[in-house]
Parts: sequence; structure tokens; C-alpha cells
Amino acid sequence: MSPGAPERPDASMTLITEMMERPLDPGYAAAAGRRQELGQSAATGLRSPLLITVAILIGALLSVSALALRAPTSANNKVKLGLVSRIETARAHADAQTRVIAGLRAQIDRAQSEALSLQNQTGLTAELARLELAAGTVPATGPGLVLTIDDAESKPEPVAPDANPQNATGPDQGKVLAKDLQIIVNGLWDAGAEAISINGHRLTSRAAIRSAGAAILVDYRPLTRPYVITAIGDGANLGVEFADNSGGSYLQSLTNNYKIRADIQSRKSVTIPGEPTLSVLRARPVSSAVTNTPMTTPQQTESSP
Amino acid sequence: MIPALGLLIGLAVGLLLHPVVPLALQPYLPIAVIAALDAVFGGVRAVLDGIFNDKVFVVSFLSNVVVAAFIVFLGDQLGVGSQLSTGVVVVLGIRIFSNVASIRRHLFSA
Repeated sequence: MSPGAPERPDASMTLITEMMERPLDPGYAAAAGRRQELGQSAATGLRSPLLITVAILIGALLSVSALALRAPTSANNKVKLGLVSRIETARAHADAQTRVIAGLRAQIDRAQSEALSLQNQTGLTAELARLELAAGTVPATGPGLVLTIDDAESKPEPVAPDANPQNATGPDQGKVLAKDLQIIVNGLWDAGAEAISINGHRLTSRAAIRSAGAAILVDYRPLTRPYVITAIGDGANLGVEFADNSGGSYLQSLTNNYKIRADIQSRKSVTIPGEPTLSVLRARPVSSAVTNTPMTTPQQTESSP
Repeated sequence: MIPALGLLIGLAVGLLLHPVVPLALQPYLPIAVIAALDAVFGGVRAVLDGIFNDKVFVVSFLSNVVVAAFIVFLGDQLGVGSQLSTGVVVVLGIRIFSNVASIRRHLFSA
């Protein structure tokens, strides 16, 4: 820059200007100038052994680093895929075993009813069927409602930079929790439901709804959303009762406050699967109480006026 | 053309031999790749400008890689390795893009 020339306005950003305007190594121009002074052509040939060696080196560098840096993630993926496939195999095995149990139990039931009818104990057969239905070991069908609950639609809200972080709805606010399902299911029992299943898992006297990390377990089986709760009860009344009681209002507040999606539909007929693995290993009946106390289920005590 | 063939041969050699890079050297690989790309695109541009010089190319490649590796090493020692790596990637990335733009002007005159 000549002394007389006015100072450039971007003189303080020479580093950036240099980088943007002269990306090519100045060494090339200097070397070309030297060669021209010596009377040679400005450019050297592309056949020098040095250049070819370096070209091979660069190619090897590219492929080696691609392989070396890609390997860890694919190894992780491999482990993850292996675990997933093991889980899936184990689950398929468990499902197959459950089906076997269901088949065997059906055989036992047939043999039982045959034995009872041979002994002219048809009263006992009816009693057995009634108890099995109440205990939830056999599939049940009847009028009821289907309640579908799903997480809020994850819509990343534009967060103002000066927004109070305590007011912002976090990403977890719109998720259905195990506690929500517990309260809703309790509300359904309260409303007079006689049998309930969640995503095809029958809720028996031994089923628990609990959370394990981010997952919701019913009967130790993880659920995937959406959560479909099927309940058998007095069709229209069940929905009305549920909407009135604490479970319904809780669901309403979930929908209003956290945008959790819920949909209740009354059906003429719904089918709820049985829980064939319901077995009692340690518990023994108290001999005096069994015959005297009438069998009561929660819904019977609730619905009686 | 012959250097391009050399590049392909190098790629094939690396893929076939699949050498194991020591873990201590792995942090330097990405930066070394960026530096190598910068030298390669600078060289191609110089060829098109008609001022290519093999010694300048080799020296610029080697010094790029060494300086980039040194910056990453220094950053690791100072506890700002990722920031310095980002800086190196930004600077070399800008150079790569302007060189590619110049190559494009040469090849397609657009």
C-alpha cells in the first residue's frame, strides 16, 4: 500500500481479508516468478516422483482415516444391534411360551370341566368359570370403552432467549408417565370397569404399572406409545362415571396443561385378553375364611349403591 | 493426471491394507485430512493457474499437516483441543472453498 493512499476501512481485519482474498499459497506465485527469471516455464510438470509419492500418501491418508474414525461407531452399532436382536429373540421366546401356557391351560380347563361334569358337579363348573373371569385368567368380552393416550406432539417451541427457564415447558412435560396411567386406570376401576388391559396386557390382581427409566412397564413388559387402555364395563355409563371421577379430571388436566392426546370411544363390544401365567406359588387359602367370605371384586363393592 | 492416479492408488492401498492407526494418533487424523484437502485443492488451483510447482505443493502439504497436528496437540495440552481444532477447520475450510470456487471458474468459466 503506497503511503499516499487512503487507509483501507477494513485495515483492522487484515487476517480475514488475507484469508478470503488470497487462499492460494503465495509460495506458488513466488516459485513461478523465480522459474520465469531463470527462463523456465512457470509451472513444473506433474510427473515428478516426489509429487506422485505424496499423492499416494494423501490417498492413503484419506482412506485410512476414514476407516479408522468410522470404526468405533460401527462397533457400537454392532453391539447395540446384537443386544436388540437378543432382546427380540428373548421376547419372541417368551411370547411362544405364553402361547404354550395358554394352550396347556385350555387343556387343563377342558379336563377340569370334563372331570367335574363326570362327577355331576356342574355347579362347580359354573363357579370355576365365574372365578376365572373375575381373576382375569381367561379372555373377557363385553361392552366397554377404548381410551387411547399418547404423548403430546413434540413441537419445538421457539424459546425466547430471555424467557424464564422455569416457565418453559421442557421436552419431558408432554410425556405420559407411569403415574398418569396408574391414576387413569384407578379412575376406570372406580368408574365400574370390570376388566382392563393396556396395550393388550391384562391388568390382573398381580399386574403392576411402573416406570423403569423412561419406559412404562405393565406386568414387567415395556409398553410402546400410544397407550391403548381397554376397559369392559357398562358402556356409556362407564365413560360418564370416569369423566366425573378423579381419574377423568386428571386426564382432562393432562390434556389441557400438557397437550397430552387422549381419545375415549365407547364400543358395543371389546375383547380383553386373559393373563394365562397368573399363578400363586406361596399363598395358601385361609381354610376358615375361604368358604365363608363371598368373593368380592373391587368393582362389585364400588358399584353397589 | 498421473497424480490423480496416484491418489486413487493410495486410496485403494489404504482400503486394502486397512492399517490400524494407534489410538494416540487418532485425534490428529481429521485435522490431517482437512490439511491434506487444502493442499490438494490449492495444488489443483495452481495447476489451472499455470503456476504449479511440485516442491511448493509437497512442502505446503507437509507443513499443513504438521502445523495442524501441532495445533491439535497444543490444544489438547492446554485443554482447549476441540476449540483449536474448530479454528483450524474453519480457516482451512474457507481456503478450501475459495480454492474450489476458483477451480470452478477455471473449469466452467462460471
